[in-house]
Parts: sequence; C-alpha cells; structure tokens
Amino acid sequence: MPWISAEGLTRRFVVRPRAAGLAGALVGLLRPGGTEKTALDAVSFGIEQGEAVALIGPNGAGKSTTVKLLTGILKPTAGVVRVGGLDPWADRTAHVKRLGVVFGQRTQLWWDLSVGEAFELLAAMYEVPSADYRARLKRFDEVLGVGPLLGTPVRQLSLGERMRCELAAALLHAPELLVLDEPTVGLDVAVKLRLRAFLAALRDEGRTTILLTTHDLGDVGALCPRVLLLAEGRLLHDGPLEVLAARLGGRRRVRVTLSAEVPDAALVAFPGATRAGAAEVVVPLRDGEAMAEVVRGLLAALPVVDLHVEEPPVEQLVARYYEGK
Amino acid sequence: MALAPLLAQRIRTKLAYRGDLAAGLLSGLLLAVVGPVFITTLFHHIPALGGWTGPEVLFVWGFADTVSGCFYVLFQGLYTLNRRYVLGAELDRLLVRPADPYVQLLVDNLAFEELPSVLLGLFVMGLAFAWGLPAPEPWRWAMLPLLLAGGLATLGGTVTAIASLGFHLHHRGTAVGLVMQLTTFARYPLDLFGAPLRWLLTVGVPFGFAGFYGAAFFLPRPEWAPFSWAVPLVGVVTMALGYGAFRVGLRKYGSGGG
Repeated sequence: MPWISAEGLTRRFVVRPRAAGLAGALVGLLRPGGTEKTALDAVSFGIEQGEAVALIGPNGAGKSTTVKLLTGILKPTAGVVRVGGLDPWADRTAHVKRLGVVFGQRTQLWWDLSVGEAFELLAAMYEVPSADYRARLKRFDEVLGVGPLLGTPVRQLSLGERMRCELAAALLHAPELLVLDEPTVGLDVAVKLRLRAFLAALRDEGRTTILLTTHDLGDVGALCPRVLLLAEGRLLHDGPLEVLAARLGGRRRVRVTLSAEVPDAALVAFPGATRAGAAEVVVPLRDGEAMAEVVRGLLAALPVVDLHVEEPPVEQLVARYYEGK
Repeated sequence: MALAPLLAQRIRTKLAYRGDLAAGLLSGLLLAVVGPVFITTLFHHIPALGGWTGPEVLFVWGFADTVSGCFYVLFQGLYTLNRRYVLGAELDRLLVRPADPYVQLLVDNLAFEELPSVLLGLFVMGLAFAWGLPAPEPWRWAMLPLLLAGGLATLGGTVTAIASLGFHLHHRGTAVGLVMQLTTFARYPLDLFGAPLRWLLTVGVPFGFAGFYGAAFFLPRPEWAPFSWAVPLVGVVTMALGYGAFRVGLRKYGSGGG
C-alpha cells in the first residue's frame, strides 16, 4: 500500500438555499432542508513517501476538499484515506504531529503574537528539542530570510513576508508530510521564485512528501513531477504535467506586444493567432512545432517589442479534456 | 502536553491589550455589584422572602456568581464557536494542531477580565456570614471546591451542547446567550419559583445544580441535601454529554463548505 492512499474517497456537503427576505429567513428556520452537493466523488490515488504531487483543477474542483480530508479537518462521507497507516480523521492528534500545513488564504500563526513568539509556541506544542529548533530556525533564516521578521507582530507582515513565515512555521517540527493549499496566490514574482526554490530543495532531500494545490502551472513545473487533475470532484488525470498537456494538445503559447498595429494579412503565417488587444497577438504552439522556430518567425515578420511564453491555464486544460471526450 | 504553552500565549496576548483588560475588569465588576446591592437593599425592607432570610439569599447569590464567573472566564469560546469557528472555518486551524480542538477552543478564548466576578462571588458568600448566616459544620467546607466544580461542569457541559448545535443548524445566531439568561433564576432559592420553572432548571437545562442546589449544602436546610450531593455527579454527566455533542458536531464540520 502506498504511504498515502485514498480509495473511493467521497465527501458530500448539504447546501441550504436561502430564500430572500425576512419571510424566507423564517421559512429557512422552520424547514432547513437542502440539497446535497458532491465535492469529491469516489477519488482514488496513491502517493509514495518523498513524492511531490500537485493537485490542479478549476475552482470548486475538489482540491481543497481533498486537502482537508488528508489533513483530518473533514471526515469522509465515504471511502477510505490512510496516511502512513493512520486515518487522518480518527487518529488526528497522532496524524497532525507529522503534518505541516500552509493555507495561502488563512494564517496558521497568531495575529497578536510576534513571529518569534509564534515559532516558539509551535515548537513547544510539537515538542521540538531546542537544539533542533535553533538549527532549523537558522536554516529558515538563511533560505527564507525570516530572521529579521522575528520581532514583528504577525498582523503587520506583508503577504510575502507572511507566507515565508508560514512555510517556516509549518516546517519547524520537520513534518513527514507538507500540505500547501494555494501557497503562491497573490505573491509577487520574487517571493514566488524564492518559495519555489526552497520547496524544490526540500523535495530533493527526499524526506518530506509534498502535496500542493495551485492555479499556477509555474508552481507545478518547478516542483511537482506528478499532477492530479481534478474537475467537479472527479480525478481526470494522474501523471506528469507534460503528458497531460501533450495529450490534450494544450501546449504553450507565445504572447507578443507590437510597436504598431499590423494588418490581418501579416498574421496569416501564424495559424491560430488571435489578437489580444490593439497591438498584442497570441500565437499557440502546435503539435511538433519547436518554440524557437515560432519565436524566430514572429521576430522576423512582426515589429515585436516584447514577447513572453505562457503555460496553458488550468481552466483551458480542463476544457480541452472535456472536448476530447 | 501542548496545553501549557497555549495557556501562556493566551495570557501574554491578554496582557498585550492592557487597556482592554482594565476596562473589561472594571465594567465586569460594576455589573456584578448590582445583584448583592439589590438583595441587601430588599431585605432591609422585608424580613423574609418565601421563608428565606436575607443572608441565605445573599449566600446563594454569591455561590452562583462564583460558578458563573468561572464559566465566563473558562468557556467564553462557546459564544463564538458557531460564527467564528464553524461558519468562519477557524476550526481548521485548531484541527491541524496536536491538541484536543475543544480544549484549544477554550484556551484560545480565556477571558481573564471576568475574574472579578469570581472574587466578588467569594466575597459575597463571606458577607452573608457577617450578616448573620449561621456557620455550617466545618467539614462541609471541604465540599465547597467539589460543589463549585460540579456546578461549573454542569454549566459548561450544557452550554457546550447548546453551542454544538451550530455544527448542524448553519444559522449565524447562537442560542448560547439566550440559555445563559436562565442562570439568573439559579441565583435564588428555586422554591421561590413555580413548579414548571423548577423542573426546567433541574432536569431540562440543569442550571439549578450550577447555583442554588450547591449553595443549599451550606445553609441550615437539610431538606435540599439530596440535590446538593447530586451536584458533582450531574456535573460529570453533563460535561461528558456536552463534550460528546461537540465530538458528534465535528463529524458534521464542513470547514466553510457546508
């Protein structure tokens, strides 16, 4: 059995529609009723220790629900999930001792404490030996630069500073499993790259199993050799991102900014090219086409000022998956 | 155990907001003083109320105020369980940490500004003896901690059960404040009230055991003794039921999803 295993994992919620107005509120009070919504529908997968896996999918796909089932926050409606032999919900206290969690939207720290105080509190809660604590803090200072922030109250941190601290906080007790729910959302490029580099190094050490949800395929490319694609509560794909992208033909595309508007005739040489603005054109890369070839052609034919290469967005991959069905 | 550092953190947080703490202490004290002032004033005009003397009523009031004061210090988290932790999904944070989520909920919300109410309650109990209440046999005092704790557990367990309804109901409001109003009755001898209310406070919402029944043990009223002896047992049972209701609620917890 793999270290993390999910068998037919299902979670349903009851959604209670609220009728409008005061009368509606009274009706809701007397007859609460509601409809069931399946957030995760019989999903099965296995993850080995030391793997780095990304959960991707559009909003409402069931990514966060999966994360919450694996961390023991939610109880499955049906199905079985095991992490290292433990049931995350039933054996929660034992399970969370070897679990580190970063939720991008919600702080795990305490608003009223300084970063240093929060770290010390966490170290005490997880019973981290003080020698280990000092060594880890030193390392987090070197790679995440948390040292200068130790005296700052958590509520006064910028988002980038906070996420660096969240990551350090989640790793203070050297967890076997690190779960990150949209850790790079809203971060600027510099902080994003720093977090990615740190997580890549952590992955390469091979001691920590990493599971992350993201909308940013850049995160996936940098960190996760393996991708689970979820949509509407179902698992659509399990394997490398490249395989998924290749299978769906949703390859990369080139976006160019031009110094002046060009006539349609100038774009004929680039099949599938679309205008994204007065002086902006997006050219998708077709099967078997080399990126360098396309870029060279664009530079030769058009008055290019700026150019960048885009990964296909998750939503597009999902849409293509359904088209292919 | 993870409890000690959490507790230390809570104390530090509270001390960081010294102004709030001082204001809370003062307003708590002012509110708490109203009751004993009312009772002493009333019994300066009438000799007895339904057979109860002024010192007796004052003692019951002091006992009940000590119990509810301890409740307000320890169980403040129950007031925000529904809105902040269940609907606001703050519970996620507690659930991924290696300590009991219920204990974390209480510790995260300890309200030291309610402490004056506890001290005032103890002071008022003493005042009743100064006012002429005959002292009970000395051995009875050994039961005081147990009766206070039993009352506290009764109050805490009942309100925990009520607050845990929030896991199932998905409404923004909570009945905690409403139910707590019933403690007012347990601050007076229960036979002053009609049978329905007495039954309600004994077997329905058993707040009688969080006030009057415990206090009666120290009054020259042997007819209430069986109820007094039941206080610790009722406390243990109610707390167990309340905690059970919380655990059942956790199974329904949807982390903001439903």
